[in-house]
This record gives sequence, C-alpha cells and structure tokens, in this order.
Amino acid sequence: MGTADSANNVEDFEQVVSLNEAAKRLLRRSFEINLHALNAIVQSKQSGDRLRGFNEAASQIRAWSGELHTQLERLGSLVREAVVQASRFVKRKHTAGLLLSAVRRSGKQHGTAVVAGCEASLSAHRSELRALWRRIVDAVDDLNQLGLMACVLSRSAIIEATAAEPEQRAQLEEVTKDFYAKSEEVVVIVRGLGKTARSKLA
Amino acid sequence: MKKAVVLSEGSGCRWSVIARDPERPSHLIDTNEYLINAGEMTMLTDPGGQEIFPAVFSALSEICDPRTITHIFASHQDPDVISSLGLWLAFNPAIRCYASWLWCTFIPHFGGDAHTLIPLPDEGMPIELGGRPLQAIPAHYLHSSGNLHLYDPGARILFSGDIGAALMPPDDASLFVTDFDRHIKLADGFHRRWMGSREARDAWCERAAQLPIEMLCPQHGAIYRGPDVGRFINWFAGLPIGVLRAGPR
Repeated sequence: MGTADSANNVEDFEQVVSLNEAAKRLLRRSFEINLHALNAIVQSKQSGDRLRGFNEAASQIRAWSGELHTQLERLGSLVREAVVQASRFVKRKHTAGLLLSAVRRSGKQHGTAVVAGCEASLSAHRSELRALWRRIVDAVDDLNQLGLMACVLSRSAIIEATAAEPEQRAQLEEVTKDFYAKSEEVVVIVRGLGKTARSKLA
Repeated sequence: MKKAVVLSEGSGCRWSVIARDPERPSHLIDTNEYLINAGEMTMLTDPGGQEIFPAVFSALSEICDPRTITHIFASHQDPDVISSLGLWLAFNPAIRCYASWLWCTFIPHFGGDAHTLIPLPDEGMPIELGGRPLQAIPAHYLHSSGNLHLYDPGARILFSGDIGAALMPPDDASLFVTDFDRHIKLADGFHRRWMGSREARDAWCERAAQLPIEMLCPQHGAIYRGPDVGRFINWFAGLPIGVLRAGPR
C-alpha cells in the first residue's frame, strides 16, 4: 500500500465518521423540534378558535417531527453499518498491505495467488461498501425532502401566528422562528450529508 | 456488537466502558475498553486486539466523535491489549500511546513510529488529559514486567488492567459485580496463574488501599464498585500466588 492509498484510507474513514456525527446532530435537532411543536400546540390551544390555523400548523410540524425521527433512525442504522464496514475495510486493507508487501519482497511465483486473493477480497468489500453508500444516498434524499417540507410548514406557522393576540403573538413568533431556524439547520446538515454520501459514489 | 455505557460524568470529564460483545467469537477473550473524555481530548485505555477493532470503533462512535481520540493508554504489551494500535493509527496517525518504557520498542511491532509511544517510567507519572489530572500507577509483574494502571482522582476510578479480571461465562453479561462471593470465583484461577510475584502484589495492594477508589475497572470481566473495591483488594492480598504455584491445580 502506497502513501496515497493510506491517505485515501484515512479520508474514507473520516467521511463515515463525519456522517455519523451529522446523523447524531440531526437526531438531537429532531427531539428539540418535537418539543417546540408540542409547546406551540399547548400555547395555541389556550387561545381557542382564534389560533385554530396555528394549532393545525403546529400539529403538522409535530407529525413531521415524528416522520423525521423515523427517517433518521433508518439513516442512523445505515450509518452505523457503514462505520462497522469501514472499520472492517481498514482492518482488511491493513492486513492485505502487510501481506502484499511480504509477497513482493519474497519475489516468489506462489505469491501471485496471495496477491490475487487479497485484491479480490478488497474489491468485494469495496462493492459492498458502495451498495451501502447507495442506500445511504437514498435515505439522505428522503431526508432532504422532509427538510424542505419543514421550511414550508414553519413559514405557514409564522403566518398563522399573526392571528394571535398581541401579548401572545411575540411568544408564538419566537417559537416559530426558532423552529424555522432549526429546520434550516436540518436542511444544511442534510445537504452536507448528501454531499459526503454522493462523493462516495462518484 | 459491543455497547458503550457511561460510568461516571462530572466536572467536565466522562468515563465510559465499551464491553460485552454477544457476537464475539469464542476463541477471543472478552475485553473492556474504557474511554475518558476530558475537555476536547479523549483517551482510550487498552484499545484491544486488532480482531475486535471494528466492534470497538463502532460502539465508541455511538457516544463520542472518534476524531477526538488523542491518546491511548496501554497497561502492558499483550496482543489483547494493544495489537489494534496500527489500525487506530490508520484512522488518526497523530494518536499517541502511553506505555511502560520497557515496551516502547516492542509495541511498535503492532504499528506506529518513533513518535507514537510516550514512555512511562517505572515509578509512574502524572498525565494531563484536556486539563484533567490523571496518574499512571505502577503495577509491575502483575502480570507483565512493565505494567501500569491509570487512576483518576477526580472520578475516583482506577483502571486496573488485568488486576480484578474475571473470565465470565458467555451467558453472564453483567457489567458490574453484584454478588462478590460468586464473582470472585471467576477471578480466582486467573489471578493465581497470571500474577507471579507476591512482593509485587503486596506493594500494589498497599498502594491501592490508600487510594480513594469508587470503581475498580479491569480489562476483563465485571467492574467493582463501592465496598466491593475494598473486598477485592483484601481478597487479592490474601490469595496464594507466585511462580511456584503455577501449573495444574
């Protein structure tokens, strides 16, 4: 294994790790959004019919948050699998590198079979990883749609909040703006995830 | 796969253990890896053999960003302790590894270069991790001739390498000792055979008895907590060990 190969190795590994960290961050955001939406529903219910529209928007946000959680669990399990696969790949590559170096130094004919075996094993593992990355890209695409929907829902909640009494309006606007900021953050994180995941298929 | 469990958290420092792998092949001894997060830095104690690297890496990723791992602490040179070093360095070549000076030219056979190892002197030394003071404590000849443990005075946790180790039956996944008398039977044979020096044992027991220890965390088997720590030290102090006792029992 040459230096460039080793560098790629580290880069591959780091990408999986950063993906895992992003997925963990998204899960935390999903939990926070759910809490905010619940809080908004409680507040709007106190105002009766006047805030029926806001209540509806907040309920949809809550349902959205549940859907986000489900999708994140799907992504999380794929990313966990990728972490396991990537660490197995590093181990296999490390061992193959040592074996190949020994075979090349020996200069013996019987080494050809060992080299072929190592390369076939690494290639099979690469294909498995690639298939896994494809599934991750699909999951990220679904998340991206959800992220965009969140932005629409939060804009709708901001509009509905204007129907509130002035003393409650400020409070609801704060909740909805915070939700909007978190939705945007989700979109940014998901885009980052998509970029990382797609680069593995390039 | 292994699971990561938080053992102690407070004052900007967190101890976790990565333990109990139900998928571990039976020909590999089960190991515990401990993770200490302090400030922006993380230390991994006895990271394990290269066969279990994927299991340790993925369990650890659940509770911490593996890119924060800056240091490894190797209690001694055994393969189940540190043969994964080369793989950790493949992930992050800047990781540095504390180990007894005695093994600093042996351990690099598992990976690393002239800068990877930080030699620990025989008398031990203070180690700072992200502003957290830790202490490497000598435990030579228990069982390795260059053997050190790691003490955290803030959390009152002693990582004790092979001391306190027990060979648990496959159906026992308990993380903590719950019935000392039952548990110690699982530690008995291990200590009688592996611990070859009574003098070294007496010195270690005297040293350990003077430390306030809430948790004694071995590399194999269950963790001792509270009064079980003192019970273990007393039990070990009275155990017949030594080279003459080696052999069939």
